[in-house]
Amino acid sequence: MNYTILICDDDHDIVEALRIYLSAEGYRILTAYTGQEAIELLRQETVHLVLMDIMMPVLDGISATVRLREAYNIPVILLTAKSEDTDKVLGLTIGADDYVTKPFSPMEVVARVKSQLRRYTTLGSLPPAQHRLTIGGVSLDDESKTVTVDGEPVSLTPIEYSILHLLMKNAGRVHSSSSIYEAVWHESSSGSDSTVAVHIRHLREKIEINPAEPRYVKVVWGQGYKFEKGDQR
Amino acid sequence: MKLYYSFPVKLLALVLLLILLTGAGLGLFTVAICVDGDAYDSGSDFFDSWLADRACREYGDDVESLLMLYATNERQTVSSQEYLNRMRERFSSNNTNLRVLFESEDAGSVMTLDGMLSLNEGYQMDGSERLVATLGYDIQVSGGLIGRWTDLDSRMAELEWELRSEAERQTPAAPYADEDWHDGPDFDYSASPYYEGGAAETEPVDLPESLGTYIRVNFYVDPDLPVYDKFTEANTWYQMLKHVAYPALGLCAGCSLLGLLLWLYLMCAAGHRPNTDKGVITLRFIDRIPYDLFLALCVLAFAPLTAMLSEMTWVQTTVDLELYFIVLVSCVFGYAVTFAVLTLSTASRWKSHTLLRNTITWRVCAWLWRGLSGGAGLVAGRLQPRELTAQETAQKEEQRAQKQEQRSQTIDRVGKGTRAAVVAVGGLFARGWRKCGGLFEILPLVWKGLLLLLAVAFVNLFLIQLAFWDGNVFCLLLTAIFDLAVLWGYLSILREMVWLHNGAKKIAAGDLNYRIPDDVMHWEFKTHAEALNTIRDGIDAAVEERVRAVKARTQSERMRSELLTNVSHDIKTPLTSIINYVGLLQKEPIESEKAREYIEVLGRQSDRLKKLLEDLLEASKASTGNIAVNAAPTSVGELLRQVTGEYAEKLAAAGIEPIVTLPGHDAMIYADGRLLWRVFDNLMANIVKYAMPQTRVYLDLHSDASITAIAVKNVSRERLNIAAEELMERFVRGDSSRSTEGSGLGLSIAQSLTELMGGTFELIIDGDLFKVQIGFPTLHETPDSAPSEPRDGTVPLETMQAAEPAAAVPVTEPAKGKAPARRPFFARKYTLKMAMEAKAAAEQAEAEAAAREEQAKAAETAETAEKARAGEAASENGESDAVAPESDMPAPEAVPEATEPEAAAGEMEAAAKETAEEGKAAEETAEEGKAMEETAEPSEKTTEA
Repeated sequence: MNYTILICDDDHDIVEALRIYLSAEGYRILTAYTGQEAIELLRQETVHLVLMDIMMPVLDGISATVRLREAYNIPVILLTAKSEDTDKVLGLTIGADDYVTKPFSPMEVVARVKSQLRRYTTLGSLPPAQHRLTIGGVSLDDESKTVTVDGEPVSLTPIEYSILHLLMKNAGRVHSSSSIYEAVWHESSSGSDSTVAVHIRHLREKIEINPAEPRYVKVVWGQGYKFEKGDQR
Repeated sequence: MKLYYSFPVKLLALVLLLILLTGAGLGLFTVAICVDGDAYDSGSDFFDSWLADRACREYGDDVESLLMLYATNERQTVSSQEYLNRMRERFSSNNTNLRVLFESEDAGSVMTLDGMLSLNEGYQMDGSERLVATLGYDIQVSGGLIGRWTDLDSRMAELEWELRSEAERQTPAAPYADEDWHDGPDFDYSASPYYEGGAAETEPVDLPESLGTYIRVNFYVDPDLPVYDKFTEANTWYQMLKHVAYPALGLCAGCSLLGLLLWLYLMCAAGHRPNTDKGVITLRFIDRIPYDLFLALCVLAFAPLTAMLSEMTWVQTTVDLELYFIVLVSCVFGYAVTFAVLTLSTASRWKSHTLLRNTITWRVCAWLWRGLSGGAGLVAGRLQPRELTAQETAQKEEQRAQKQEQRSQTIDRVGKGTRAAVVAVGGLFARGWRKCGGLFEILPLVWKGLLLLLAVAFVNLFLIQLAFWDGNVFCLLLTAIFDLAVLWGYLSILREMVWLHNGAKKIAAGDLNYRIPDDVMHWEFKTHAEALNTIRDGIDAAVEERVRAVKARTQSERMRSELLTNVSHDIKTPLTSIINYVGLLQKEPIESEKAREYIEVLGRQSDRLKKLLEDLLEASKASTGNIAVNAAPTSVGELLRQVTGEYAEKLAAAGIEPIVTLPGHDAMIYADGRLLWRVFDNLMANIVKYAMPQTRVYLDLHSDASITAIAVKNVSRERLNIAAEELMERFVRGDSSRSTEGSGLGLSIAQSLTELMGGTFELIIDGDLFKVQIGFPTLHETPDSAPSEPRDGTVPLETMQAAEPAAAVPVTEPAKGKAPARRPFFARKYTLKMAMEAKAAAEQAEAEAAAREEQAKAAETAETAEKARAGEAASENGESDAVAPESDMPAPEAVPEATEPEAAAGEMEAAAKETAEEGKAAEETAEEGKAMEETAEPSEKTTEA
């Protein structure tokens, strides 16, 4: 299916660059340069995803997203030059699904767009089953021992699978590396062993778009690891 | 002269002076007594001295009484006979050395008298007796006596009168005395009938007519003093005086001489104090007392001492010598002190030219003078303009009209003059009253207080006296009212003192909004309150200024930080474009090899610019403290494991082997884990960039009761010819060539972040050894000290994303509602590790239970057990070869299910028991243990089933 993506940024060059990248992926692109334009375009066209800059003239990205959310359920990815946590939190609380901080690499944007589209289109398509754990875009099937991220299968080692399973089952709870070690390896860990950390690093590289800023498997520094509970939207 | 200013020297001199003065005084006193007692006259002896006279006087009264008996012819009565016998006993040679010889003026009657009295019975005069005193008596017609000493000793002149009046008193009233005569004459004996007819009026002081019998009483003393009596006593005293006479002279002279020297020194040094300039005279309190008052006080002090001393010259023979001496020394010492104070104060006053000025007399005179001159000035001031206008009017009226008006003008002038006089006098009084008030104002507080007290006492005394004098109830009432008024005044003074006190306390405590109500206060309190309020204003202003300065500084810092943030935001947008288009360029099919190379450089540098920008922002925020610190108890061991895990591949790629050394126990600190990660992220990135390949990096954790220290050590690839301090500065890198990637901000950021969290960051460079030491205070996991809330209001990102505050410290989440909500795990002392183990076990058991329930629905128990056994083997295999799990692989979760439950339960029980044994957190851990057992129960049941 040919998805339509609305790119909204007051910087024409950025819009153009994103248009080129996303067109290359086969998406249909609409462009807008203010929030107001974006809202108007949304009324006229069927749009599947919006890339929205925050700092724009006329109507800024935050207000536009708020207005947009009144009528649409489509994923919104915020493009923001602000890298402070509070800005990100603000963006996510008002209804954005993801955010990309400027300066972004085009590949990351493409990956996030894909991820959001997959989640948006396939969400609810999988029948909920007893043996399936689904949190956010990550779905773990305990029978087939398969893991999909935004519908794409991910290949994990048994250890990584066990760790993911443990974390997902107790999503939101922090597990120290020694407790993970004991739960997965069934033996007590030696204090200075960083095996668990290495495995989790690998796990993050496999299921996260940006392992340094994970969405799902989060590092609670100095305490352990947890699977982000996520919004069950 | 330095000596003038040295306080110890002066004090010593003063003490010495007092001692010397006392010595001199004592000497002088003794010398005086000795002179009095003829002790210096080597030719005279005891019997010539007045001491013998004194002893005689002891007997004189009795002798007189005897004469009275003789004169009144009462010796025949029984009582008189008894008295006579007693006297005979007293005057017998067994009891006294005195020999009394009566002789009449007319010779021959001596024997009669003597025989009649027969005082010295059985004693024969042998001629060696010394005549000590002679008394002459004139027997009066009324039976009275007139006695006089006849040995012409002028010292005893007064004794004569005493004796006479004594005789007067003993004169029996004449039976025929006229009552009227009692008032008139000065002498009782003039009631004699022979003087009737106004003789007393003409010569009242004259001696009355003699009966014609003159009797001389001679007091002889046996010079050997064979009997102990008054003479023996007096002789002892006399001998003593003889002994001390010359030493006393010497003492007096010596002490006086030395004392004079000291006194001269002190007089010169008077008024000089240490730490003052030369010539500056400092007056003590005593020197500020008005001089006339001071003099009066000194005289007041001298008077009783003098009286006492003069009394002491008289009572020597009978008193206790020790007591006498003590009193004597005290008196003399008092004299010395008064003398010293008087003279030294006078010297100080003289030097400071306040001798005359500082007198009440002077002040009163000056005040009177001012008042008078002021009054005169007032009069003059009032009169002058009036006179002038009067003159002007006079001139005008002269021009216009004649005598009539002149007359009226005169009247007018007189009237005006009178008025002016009245006004002047009134003004004088008003001014005087004001001056009086002013005088009171300028008095020192102490004097005011004293004056007030005196006034109150006086008024009280007066009123009470008045009340008792005529028993006036009104006066008593008045007294009561007056005293109530005084009480009210006293209380209001106290109230104002309390205001002052409280105000001062409040200001001292920093309450700068408090103003002492000085507008409703009085006198000194008002000025004091005003002074305090001024201080308050001053402090207020200073504090405000400082606050403003601090505000301005933080404002400027924040503005700088904000500027940097805004600028970097503005840079970010074009940078995004650059990165994107470089990416596009890289995808374009470009023929030229060089062009592709250049594009490569562009890509690398734009990435570096991006990193630099991010670091710059972070460094700015970290150094200005513009980062929210969400501090929480953090396990350093866990963090180090995580860090090495994160960097495992990068380190391996750089050929560096990490060696982590952790202590046996888990070291906890209070820090923000994310910021701490940024610290180590920067350090590890540094190591990856600059460490020598094929070496090891050491991450050592040391933790004791107070400090938890992390040391990161590695060997630099390049030679580190740079100071550690320099290396910490922003944009400085070890290799100065700037060729390698990185911003040079990493260490600066790490340091700022560490210090932001209250830690210490130390960089040590020893040759090529690069060592970073990070220290934090060790967190003691006591229930009270471990805060479970983030330090400030900001909630961490994860929390807000999860929209569930409990996730902020997710470890504390209770075991799925089964265990009661309890404190965070770190809040338990000593049991941390155990608790963690137990927790893990509980979680596991819980998970098993859940899985089991699920599976129980699908399959039968036996099948599950079998599957589990198979799974055990399978998972062991699976662990060894890391392949993707096959789709039909048995559940790995089955392994713990089948094999672990019992062990887990046992372990939990053990843990619970152990923790229960722990003294400090016994209750909590026991609770936890129970909860765990509960959790474990379902799994046990299912296993049994």
